[in-house]
Amino acid sequence: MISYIKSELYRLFHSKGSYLFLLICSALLISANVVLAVIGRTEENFPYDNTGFSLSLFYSDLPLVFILCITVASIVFGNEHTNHTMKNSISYGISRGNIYFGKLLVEIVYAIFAFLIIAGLFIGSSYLLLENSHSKDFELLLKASFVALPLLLCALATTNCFLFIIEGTGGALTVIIGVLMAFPLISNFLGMKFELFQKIGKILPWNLVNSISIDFESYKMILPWEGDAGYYNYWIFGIAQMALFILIGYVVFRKKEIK
Amino acid sequence: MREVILSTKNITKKYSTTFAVNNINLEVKQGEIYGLVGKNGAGKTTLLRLISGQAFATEGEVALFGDSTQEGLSSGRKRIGAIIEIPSFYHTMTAEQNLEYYRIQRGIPGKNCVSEALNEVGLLHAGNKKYKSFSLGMKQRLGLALALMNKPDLLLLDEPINGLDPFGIVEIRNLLLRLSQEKNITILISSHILSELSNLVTYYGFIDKGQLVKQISAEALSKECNRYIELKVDKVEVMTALLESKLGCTSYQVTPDHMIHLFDHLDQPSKISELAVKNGVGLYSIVTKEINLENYFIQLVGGESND
Repeated sequence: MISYIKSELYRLFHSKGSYLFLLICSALLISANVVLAVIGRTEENFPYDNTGFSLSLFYSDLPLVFILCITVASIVFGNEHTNHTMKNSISYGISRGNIYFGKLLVEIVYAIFAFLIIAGLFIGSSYLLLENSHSKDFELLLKASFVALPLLLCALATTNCFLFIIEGTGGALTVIIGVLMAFPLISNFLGMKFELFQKIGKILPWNLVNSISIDFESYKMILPWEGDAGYYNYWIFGIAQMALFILIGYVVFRKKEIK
Repeated sequence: MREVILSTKNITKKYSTTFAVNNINLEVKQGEIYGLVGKNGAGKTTLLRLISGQAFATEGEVALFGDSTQEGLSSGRKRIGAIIEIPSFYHTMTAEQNLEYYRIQRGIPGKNCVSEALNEVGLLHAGNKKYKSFSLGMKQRLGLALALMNKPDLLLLDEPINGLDPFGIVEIRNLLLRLSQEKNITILISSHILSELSNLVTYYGFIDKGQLVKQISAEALSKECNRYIELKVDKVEVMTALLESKLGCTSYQVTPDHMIHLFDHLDQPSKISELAVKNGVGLYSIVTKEINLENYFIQLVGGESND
C-alpha cells in the first residue's frame, strides 16, 4: 500500500492538473480580497474591506468546498478507466484493496494539502490587504471547517466509490452529483410531504453542509442540533455515510474486471 | 525436468451464454516461448486477462510458479511482465515519468532500471517525450519496457508486434529471443501474425472459439508443415503398394478423403505419374504442396485466418 501511495503522490505532483487546481482556486479567492481592498481604498465608508467579511466568505461557502472535493477526487483518480492504466497495477499483483484504499488516502491527503494551501493563502492575503476587524473571525473559520470536515471526507469517499465502479468518467460524475446533491434536494422536497424523507434529508451531507450558518451578533455557529450534539451529529452522520460508500465501492470493485 | 511456470486447469470464462474461454488446460515450462495462436475473438486476450488477474474465471484455476492460492498468484504476478491488449500509460506524462511511476509502485529499487528498460527497447532517446505523442510502435516498445523493468521470469505478451514496422518487428523478435536465451525468461506470446511466431516460438497452442484445439512443439509442427506431393487416384491401395514396392516410399499418408500425401521423392513427380499410368491406376491429379503455418492453422480451425 505504501508503494502504491508513493507512486500516486509522484504522479499527482507530476501532473499539471493538480497545480492548476491549486492555482485557480487560490487566485480566485485572493482576487476577492484584492477587489475588497481596492474598493475599500477608493470608496469611503465601504463596510466590507475587513477580515471579518472576507473570512465569512470562506466559511459561508463551505458547500462550494464540498463540490471542490468531487473535483479533487477526480484529479487524483486520473482517468484510470479511460487510460486503461489500472491493468498495469493489477497484472503486477497489486491487490484491488491496495489500489482502492491507496487512491482514497491520496485523495484525502491531497484535499487536505490543497485546503491548507488555498485557505492559508486566502487568510494570509486577507490579513495583509484588509482591516483586521474581529479576533473571533479566524476561530469561527476553524470551527466551521472542523464541523464540515467529515462531510467533505464523505464527498471524497463517495466520489472515489463511484469513480471506481462506473467506467465512464461522465457517467460516474452524473451519479456522484445525483447522490451527493440531487438526492438531498429531492429528499427536501419530498420531506415536505413525507416524514421519512424529511428525516433522511436532514442527515445527508449536502444538506448538513448547507445548514451551517453563523450568528454574527454572538459569533457562534448555528447548527440544526443544539449544543455539543450539533458537533457530534455532524461527525457521526458524516463518518457513517463515508464508511458506507467506502464499503460499497470496495465490495463492488473487488469483483470488478479491469480492462 | 523443467519447472512448470504457468498452468491453467479447466479454466473457463463465460459471459452470459458465450464461452470466451472454454475448459483450457495449458502448461508453459521454464525457458519456453509459448505461442498462442488464434483468430481475433478466439479467446487469446481473455485467457491472458485471466492469467494476469484482470478478469475472474467462471470455473477452473490458474497456477503461477506452481502455486494457485490467492497469495501465491499475487506474489507470482510480481515475477511477471505483461502487455495485455494495447499498452496503456498516462497520456500527459513522459515515457520516463510513466516508468518511474510504476517503478515506485512496484517497489523496484534503483532509478537506473528505468533508463535500462528504455534502452533495452530502443526508446532511450524518447524518454522525455510525452506518451500522447508516441506512435503505436513506440507505445508497444514502452509497454515492453514496463514489462521488462522488474526483470521478470515470465513475460505475457498479447500481440506485442502490432503496429511495429518491419525493422521494429525484427528488433523486438531478436530482443525476445535474446531474453529467452540469455536470461532464460519464459514467454507466453499471442499473435495472429503466424509467420512472425514461426521465427520465435518453441511451443504452439492453437485456440479457437475459446478452446485450445491443439498444442504442439515447434519441432513437431515443422515436421507436419513439410512439403509433400498430393496424389488423387482411383485405386488408392494399389497405388500405395506400387509406391512402396517400386519406388521404396515409406513416408506417406492416406487422408480420409482418399488422397495420398507423399513426403519423399518430392523431386520425381513425373516418375510417380508414369508409375501410375503404366500400372493402370487412374491418376486424376498430382500436385506439390506445402503446409505453412497459416495453412496449418486454417486447416485446424476450419476457416480463414485473420491477417
